[in-house]
Amino acid sequence: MIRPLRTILHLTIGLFVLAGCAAGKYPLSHTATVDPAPTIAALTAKAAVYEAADEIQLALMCWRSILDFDPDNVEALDHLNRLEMLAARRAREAYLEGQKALAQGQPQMARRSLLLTLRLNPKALEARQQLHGLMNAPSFRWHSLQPGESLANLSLQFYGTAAGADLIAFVNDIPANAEVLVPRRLKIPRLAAPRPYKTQRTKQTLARARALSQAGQHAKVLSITEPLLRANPKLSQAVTLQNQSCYILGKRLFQEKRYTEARQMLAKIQGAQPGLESLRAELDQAMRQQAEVHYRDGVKYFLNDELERAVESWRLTLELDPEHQEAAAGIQDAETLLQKLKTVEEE
Amino acid sequence: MRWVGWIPLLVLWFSACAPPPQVRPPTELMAVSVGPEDDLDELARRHLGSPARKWIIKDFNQIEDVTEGQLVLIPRRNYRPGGLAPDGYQVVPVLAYPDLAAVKSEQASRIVDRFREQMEFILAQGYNVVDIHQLIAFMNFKATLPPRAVVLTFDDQSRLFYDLIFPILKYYQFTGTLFVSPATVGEESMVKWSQLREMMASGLRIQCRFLKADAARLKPSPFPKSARLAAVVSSLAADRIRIETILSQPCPYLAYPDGQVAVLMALLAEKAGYQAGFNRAGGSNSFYRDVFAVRRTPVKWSEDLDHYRKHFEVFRQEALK
Repeated sequence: MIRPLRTILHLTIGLFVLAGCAAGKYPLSHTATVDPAPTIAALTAKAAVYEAADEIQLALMCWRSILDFDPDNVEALDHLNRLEMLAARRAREAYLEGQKALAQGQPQMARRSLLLTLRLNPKALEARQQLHGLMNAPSFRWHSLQPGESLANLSLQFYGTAAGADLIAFVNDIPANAEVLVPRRLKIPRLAAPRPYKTQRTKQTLARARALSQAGQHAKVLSITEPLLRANPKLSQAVTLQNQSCYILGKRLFQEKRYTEARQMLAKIQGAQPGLESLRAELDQAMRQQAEVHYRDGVKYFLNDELERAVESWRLTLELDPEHQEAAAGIQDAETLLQKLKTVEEE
Repeated sequence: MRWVGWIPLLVLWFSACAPPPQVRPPTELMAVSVGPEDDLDELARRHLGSPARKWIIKDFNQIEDVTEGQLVLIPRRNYRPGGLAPDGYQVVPVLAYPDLAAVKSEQASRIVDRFREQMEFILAQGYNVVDIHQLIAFMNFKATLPPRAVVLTFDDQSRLFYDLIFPILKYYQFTGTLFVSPATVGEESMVKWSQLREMMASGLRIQCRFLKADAARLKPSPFPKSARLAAVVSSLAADRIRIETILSQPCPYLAYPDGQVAVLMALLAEKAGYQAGFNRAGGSNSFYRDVFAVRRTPVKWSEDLDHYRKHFEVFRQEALK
């Protein structure tokens, strides 16, 4: 009686052993549902279809899934290795293209390259952050507090009015009446229309312009800021630099008595610029005085029958003072006389 | 010494019990052989948790149906982040229906007819109505959406919505999001909390709505005083908590008032603990859009299909190769 029982027990254990061995070959979830060999074949075929359609990430999914069934599948390992390298290389190339486009101020090209980067490598977090930054107007900008800055003058600086001090305080969890601000980075909400994005290259260009400005090379500053502002008229730092340089160059031209050029230079200044109003007033006065000098020269020439020189002087008068009516009338008279003289001579 | 005979068997037993070194659970794709009783609904229910997710099987395998013995692959993770494809990328229209409170009773039947017509259009054109939560997961690069995905939202808490619109959504089994201001829930001619619960149970999501009246408190514009800013943030946070407490569900999304798409709204929403904000600026949403500036396209209840169909931009063609 005991021997047959023992035999049954041995057989049972043997079956358990065999079942245990079998269970080790494939994951339970697969064995319960599919036969591994045709599944591997189907995944292989699917991977090829996806790769042909340039869906590299989906092809990679298929190859990786084959390893769930057969971790040593040489074909899958080879394809995985090849495709992962291919995806990484193409994603890197696309990302670099994106950086180049950003630096050249080509946002649409940059957007496309960053999208391609993410398609090839969805884990490219930097590309995603850049794309997000490129395509969304940021809700605030960061500002590092400088010694002596207060909420009111920050508001004045960024909004043109001190009324935004409360808002800056609120957003940064600072008491609205705080007088002394601990040095830190502050969020400055952007309430105006979205500003044009600033590329890395733009930042570098602005840095160069700042350095030239500090070195007193203002003509060179203008050669940098003018193209920048043609592309992005609201680029505030470029506006500031341009205003400063135009003011200094305008003042220099004024001192050299090159009044017309000085006026043209000052006309490039956008908005407010310290000292601009008084310089303009001085310039206007000087130009009026100079216009009078030219006008009187013109009269002298006219009285001496040097009509052409008179016209030339009065033209200079009008350049300096376009509203100088006597000069305008004098030119008309002199030109009429010149015409008559010409006719008489021809006759 | 009889026990000596057991040793080989015990050795075999223990070796079998040891975890097989090369085995691992399916990581990304599950391969499933279609059984005699299986259809797409059943496969989706069994392997993806809900029949509503059968589009994943259809999309990944590029099939419309399954037959017995067929091998299908079921992705177990976000397989197309951002909806990016070689020929472009997915964008999602979010339709914003206005408040029905101002609707006169004689207009009601016309509105019902038009809305039914619009839902029929969505169904017939193969658009997939998705939940707002799925949209935000998609925008955060965490979920794949079905192709031709569209989101329905309603800035409405009138009783009329419950009486007229909810039954139609239920009939079509479409999900949607109702943005409500909790302060007026339960008032005369307004929806009740119990009705909101009922709608939630049918798959609608209830989220918070920032009313124009609240926005009007932000004075003087555009630089309100900090006390007013703080009051609005507290009020927004209180509304969120109230909805979460009464309905026992998270309330992370806020609809901004009409026309108010300013940055200030987004800053206040974030400060009040919301995770996304919805404006009415119009246009579809790509994954890279700011989640605090999700665009919604205003739709009129009376809109005919010629106008309605123009809102459905679901894919942007662009060579991404």
